[in-house]
Amino acid sequence: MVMVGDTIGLIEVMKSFTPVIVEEAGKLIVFHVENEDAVMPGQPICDIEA
Amino acid sequence: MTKSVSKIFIANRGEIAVRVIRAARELGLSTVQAVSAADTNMLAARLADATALVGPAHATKSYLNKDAVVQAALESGCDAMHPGYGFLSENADFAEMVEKAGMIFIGPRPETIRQMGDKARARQEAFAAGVPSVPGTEGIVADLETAKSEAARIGYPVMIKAAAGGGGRGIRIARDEAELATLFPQASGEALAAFGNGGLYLERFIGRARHIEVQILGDGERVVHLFERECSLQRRRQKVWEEAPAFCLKPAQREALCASAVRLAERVGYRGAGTLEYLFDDETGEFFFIEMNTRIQVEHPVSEMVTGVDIMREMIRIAMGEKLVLRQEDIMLKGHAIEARICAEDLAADFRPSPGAVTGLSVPGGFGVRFDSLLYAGYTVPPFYDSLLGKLVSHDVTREAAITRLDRALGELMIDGIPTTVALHRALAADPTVRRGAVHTRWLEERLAASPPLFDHLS
Repeated sequence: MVMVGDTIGLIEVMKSFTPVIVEEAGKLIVFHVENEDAVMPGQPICDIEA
Repeated sequence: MTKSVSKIFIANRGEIAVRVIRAARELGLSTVQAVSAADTNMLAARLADATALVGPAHATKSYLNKDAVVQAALESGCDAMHPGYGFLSENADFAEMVEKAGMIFIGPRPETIRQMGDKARARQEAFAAGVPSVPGTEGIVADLETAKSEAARIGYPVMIKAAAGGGGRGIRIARDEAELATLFPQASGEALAAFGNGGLYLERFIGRARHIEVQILGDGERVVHLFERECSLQRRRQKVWEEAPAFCLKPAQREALCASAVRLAERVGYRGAGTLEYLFDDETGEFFFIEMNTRIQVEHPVSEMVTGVDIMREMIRIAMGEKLVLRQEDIMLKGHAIEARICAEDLAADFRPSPGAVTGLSVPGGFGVRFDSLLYAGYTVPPFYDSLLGKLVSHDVTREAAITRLDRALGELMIDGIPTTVALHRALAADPTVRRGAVHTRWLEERLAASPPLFDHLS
């Protein structure tokens, strides 16, 4: 389970880190990316079931 | 005795890799550029005689992978290694590996890197050379109880610094004993995790000081200085704008500062290009040694402009075993130079890094202007590395004229497609406090937090 405000990951852009923060609580079903994978804007990172 | 070098491996990327290629080519040497999978089309890869893949995009698996870098250099037939700045440039183990593999490391001896890279040992050397450092502990502080008694002697506020840290990382400020008791164990744990070495030392925190640094060149025996730089304009402990010389110094202060740097570098038998960093207190005129960077620095061009010495070329020559031909009395200060670091950061979004495609580029020129950069039109700046795009440097007869010339050049620089920090530099060039030179290391952050805004990010 994840709660609103939880940090579920960090996105690194040019050596600065931005937290990925949960906006709706729920059950984290699956991550679509592996640790240290490159991601693009708009790309789904995980599925959270409300 | 000179050693024959024909091919240099460049274990770095970005603008400094381009800088190395230029110097190598002028010396008649060929270059092999290390590239990560994300960097195969960077400018340095286009300019070098050849490229060698050292790993995937992530720096820990490519530019920081010692084995992969040494292997690639050997396979491509290189006989020397230039580490640039950052990455493996101050890694003594890497320098040792390079030498064991039969190549020349373009930098100091591994033991010098180790000695000066350990901030506590560097302070001890400074003390022995009669170079003042910030009041602090003689070496590593063993435990909290020792830290408490030492801090009481030094005087609060104190900085807790990681012996293996650098670049502003691993520093905490304790205002009193209670804070020290909280922060000391934290700092130790973090230093161990970040640097593999939990050793800490203490220094008095000097709130309002300038950052001044002396550029030196040594051949292992004799050392000369190329005067000093003023680098007080910083944000998050990263330099933003650098000048040479430090306009705030009186001639006698300049002489004492530069002589102290030469003394310390000669004491450790320094070989190559290096920089000794100091804090300078305007009010008392005191300077304190903080640390030495045993590599080429980002801001070396301002020293090149005011002395006419090609630092990159000299460091390669020295690595090839040549003795310094420069004599101190031949090195003269001529005019004033300023460097503006142009970064891919969005001023409208609190300096958020902003990689992406550069759709158009127009580079400034004219008398007294230099632009060392990694850019070309059509290049896509990757998100994996730091945000520095290039360094715009102006040189003129006086400081005032150099600021005006820098602003003129900034006005000509057009980088289309990605946000950059150009507008910040134009605002700094126009700022009355900057024009007066009345800045200290925290001035820029304080000014950015104050109103009216320093710059209009809609312009």
